Amino acid sequence: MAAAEFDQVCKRYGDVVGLEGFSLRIADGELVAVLGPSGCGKSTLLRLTAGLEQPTSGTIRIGERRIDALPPHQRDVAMVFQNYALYPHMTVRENIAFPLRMRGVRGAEQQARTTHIAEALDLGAVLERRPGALSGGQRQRVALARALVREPALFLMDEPLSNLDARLRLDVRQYIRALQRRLRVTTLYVTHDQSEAMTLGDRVVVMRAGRVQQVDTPAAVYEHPASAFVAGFIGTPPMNLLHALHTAGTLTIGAQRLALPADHALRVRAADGPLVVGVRPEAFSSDPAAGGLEALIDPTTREILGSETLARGRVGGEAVIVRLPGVVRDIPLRVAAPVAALHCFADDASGARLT
Amino acid sequence: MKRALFHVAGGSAVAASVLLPLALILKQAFTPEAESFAWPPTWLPQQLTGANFRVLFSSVELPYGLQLSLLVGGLTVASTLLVTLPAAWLAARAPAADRRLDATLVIARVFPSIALAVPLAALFVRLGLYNSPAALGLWIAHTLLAIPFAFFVLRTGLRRVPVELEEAAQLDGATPLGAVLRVTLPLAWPSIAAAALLVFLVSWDEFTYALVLQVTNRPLPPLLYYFAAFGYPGTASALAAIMLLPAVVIIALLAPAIRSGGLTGSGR
Amino acid sequence: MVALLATLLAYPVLYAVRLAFTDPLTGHFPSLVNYAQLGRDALFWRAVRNNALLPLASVVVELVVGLALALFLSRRFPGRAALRALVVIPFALPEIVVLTIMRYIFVRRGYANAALAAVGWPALDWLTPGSALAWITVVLVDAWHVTPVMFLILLAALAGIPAEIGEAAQLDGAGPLARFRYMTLPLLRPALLAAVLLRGVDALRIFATPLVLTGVEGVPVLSSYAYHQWSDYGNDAAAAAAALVLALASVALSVPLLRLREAA
Repeated sequence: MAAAEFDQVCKRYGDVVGLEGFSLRIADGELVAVLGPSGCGKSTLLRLTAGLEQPTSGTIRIGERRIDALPPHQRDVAMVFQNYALYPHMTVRENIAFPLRMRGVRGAEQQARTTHIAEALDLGAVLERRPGALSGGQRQRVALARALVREPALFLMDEPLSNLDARLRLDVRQYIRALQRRLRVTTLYVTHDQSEAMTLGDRVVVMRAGRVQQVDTPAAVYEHPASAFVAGFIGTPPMNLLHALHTAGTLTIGAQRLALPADHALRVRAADGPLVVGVRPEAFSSDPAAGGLEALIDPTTREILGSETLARGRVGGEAVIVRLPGVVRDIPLRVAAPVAALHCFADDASGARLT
Repeated sequence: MKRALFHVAGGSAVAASVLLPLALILKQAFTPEAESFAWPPTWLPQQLTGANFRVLFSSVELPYGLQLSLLVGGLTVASTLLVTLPAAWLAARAPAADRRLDATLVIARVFPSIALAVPLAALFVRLGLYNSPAALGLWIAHTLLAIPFAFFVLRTGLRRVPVELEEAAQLDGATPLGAVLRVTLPLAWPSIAAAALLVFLVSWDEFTYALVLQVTNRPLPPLLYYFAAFGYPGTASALAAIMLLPAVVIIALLAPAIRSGGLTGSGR
Repeated sequence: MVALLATLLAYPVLYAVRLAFTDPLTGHFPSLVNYAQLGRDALFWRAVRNNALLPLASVVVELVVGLALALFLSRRFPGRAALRALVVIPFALPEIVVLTIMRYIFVRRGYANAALAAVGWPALDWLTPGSALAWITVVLVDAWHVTPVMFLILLAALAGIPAEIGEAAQLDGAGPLARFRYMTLPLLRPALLAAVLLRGVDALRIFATPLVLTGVEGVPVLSSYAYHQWSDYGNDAAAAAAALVLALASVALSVPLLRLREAA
């Protein structure tokens, strides 16, 4: 177990940026979830860490040891692959024992450690089977066991749940969480699924086009997204983003004009001009006292999901999604979100948070 | 750096071992006979000439052999496809028939030619097809030889056409045969073309049957054998170059199919 | 359709059986007189021996070279695509063209000896009938021609091994040799077996290579022996009898090949 540190790691493929200026410190025993759409550089990050690719520049350290130029087998890094990459010609026992065997751990110790991790992951009964004869969940656990058996300094997981069906995914998610807490193994977990990242990560790294957008706790990423991209990526459904204009303490959104409180950051900084306003679907309510930003609902779009009800509406010319708790049969035609629930972002390519 | 050196060295060695023999035969084809007889032999041509080809084409054997090879190749393509297409379609659609056909044709594919050539020769002597000026006997033998080659290519191609398309065509009013002719065959066209090219190449290259069945009315392969054994290196090399040409063109056309494993008999 | 194909292929074989088991003098059937004659012929026994050993040696050479080529051309480097196309060329050449080329290379005053002379070595008799060197030359020429088949099968099989397997093994601590031994080789096993069987059965038919390079008596094999009986002595019956021995061996070797295909 050790801490890991990335300093200004870059990877370019010709002119294409894979990863740009990536810096991050992962504390010993921490699980950091890297979240982003496909092509955002999260897989590149894993492969650079594992040594399957070489960074163009920058350094990677595990503990005190600089590893970015070492071949994979000298890095003390284990990885669970998206498709598990189990060795099809070996039994479960041979699969789990392989990393030990390659490190010269033989005989009784190999046997004991293999059996121990297999028991811990509930694989004792299938040790003599081949991967082809296992269920999806079992394969997943074999991949975990093979990665964990040699007690790596850093543990990498590449979308490990994406090949499981939806029900199993929730179970295995919990399982991985509990296992990681118990073993206190420093982990970098890559996913495109925000619910995985939010539930598993001690911290979440949100990435886009090779660049880090935000590094924060799951709660902070949800409550204070650092950019319009993060806001539009996190949440189900994600945050509504609307075009707005700020002039001397007044926000104009469509035909609505909202007065900002005197201590509002936009007012303090006297930043007049166009911006993007974000409002979470769940920030709306039918409470007439709420005041603030109003949306007109199209009642025919109502979707009752049980624990919540979704509906589509408009703010001026722009579409919004609204989420109300519980079963709402008679959807209100008019809902509103308080000014305090509005997030403000720059109306440029960065989409940086203004408030 | 060391790795790049390894790639360059390995690549050059591989390329040389493949290309050197070819370069030598082409050199001999385009240099005067005297140079081909020289000792030590030249590695690069000292003098270029088309004389070897002129000698070849002014002979009686070459135009006749060329004509015969083309004729037998063309006829073999037609007869082989005619016999094999229905069989391959059946194999692609009916697993039970496929098992038997597959086994039969694997054995046919590896069956030694000489074990068919000898009885066929004896048979053709009685039927008057032996050494036939139009190589009719050879045509039959080449058809037998080419059927397995065509079968494995066609079956792969026909399997890729979903049976649902034939069924949809039938629901739309086509007869079962009409559905195959109008829907399946047009869609399987690339593999039919590949099979045709391969069959032509098999016939064009074939040596054993041609040697046994056409003792004096020789197509190109036994003619080259005869030239190489009793003729001059220049003319023999020129004939080899002529034989190379269609082979190389066809293999280039078939390259995608070769890479997919359909032609080496490795695919099932 | 199956019946028609089977008949088309079976009729000449049945005819060969009749020829082989008929006494050519009396017309008596069945008779073992032809096989008795083969048994007394030393050339026939040389052909039998060569027909067992030549394919074996050829397949071993093809396997080693084909695997090395497939591994080499699985690596990523500029020019790989061109080399892959190039490597297949020998198989694309008509057999008789290959043999014509090789004859000019390996004759006494040929290019092989010229190359030896250039580095100051004595000339070799590559093709002298009956010599061990001629035997080796036949194997090498045959392997040169058909190794591409082995290469293509193994290249496809290598491409079928997911890259993640190798990457996972790397992370698990396996160096290049360990990855070859514990991953590549065992995962390639089914393809290797299929390729060896396929090429093995195919190699039994070896005919033109020894015939063109060394003549009928140089490195006799069953096919060239049968051809010799038929062409030089006009002995249909002995030719058919020898060819049937080969056919039998070929069908017998096809059985495991078919089993393998059934399993696939």
